[in-house]
Amino acid sequence: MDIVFIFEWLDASWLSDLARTSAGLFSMVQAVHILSMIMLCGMIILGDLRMLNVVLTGVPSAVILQNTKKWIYIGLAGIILSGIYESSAIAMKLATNSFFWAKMAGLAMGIIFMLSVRSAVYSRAPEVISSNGSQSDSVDAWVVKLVAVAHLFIWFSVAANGRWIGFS
Amino acid sequence: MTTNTLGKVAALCSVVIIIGWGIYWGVQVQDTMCLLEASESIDIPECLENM
Repeated sequence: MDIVFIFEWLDASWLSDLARTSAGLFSMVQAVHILSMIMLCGMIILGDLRMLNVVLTGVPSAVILQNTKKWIYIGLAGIILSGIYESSAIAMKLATNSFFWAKMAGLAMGIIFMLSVRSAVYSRAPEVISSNGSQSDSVDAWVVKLVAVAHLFIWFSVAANGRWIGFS
Repeated sequence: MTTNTLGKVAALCSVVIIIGWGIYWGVQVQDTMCLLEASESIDIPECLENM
């Protein structure tokens, strides 16, 4: 399916004009994009490293997962909204940029994996289950750790490909 | 979905992602090293033909 028309539409939109003519606003949105990415990745790293028993081992996993959830969603909203604005300035260039597509694939994969597999596995992790009272219905600890590593890898790719767009 | 099935699906997805990640970044690093080599040499390196 050819989706270049989306980039052509974005390139001809008022958003694109605004992004090209207002350097100050573009810089601020760029800062929001980076800060949102830092917040998103920071919260994800915190949750995943806790599940790997690397950081904050004295704090229950369920507490960390519950408290990072809101900031993950805020970070996601921030990177998507600011990303649309940023990409409108160079829409036609991005349409043929392989790193941009790799980043989008990673972003889609990261969101799907986080909301489906990660969420389901972490809610049935041995530590989380034991804090809720019933210990019989938990997944193996090595599966939890494997999911944490895979999730970290996905988001590393999103961030690294985002940086790579700037080099290409 | 039962916990047992969830565990198997999650493990499979994670292994596929980790292997795919390794292949993808392996190729990217290889290509980057090739471009670096090309930028430093007068002759066109052999690896550029395979990119």
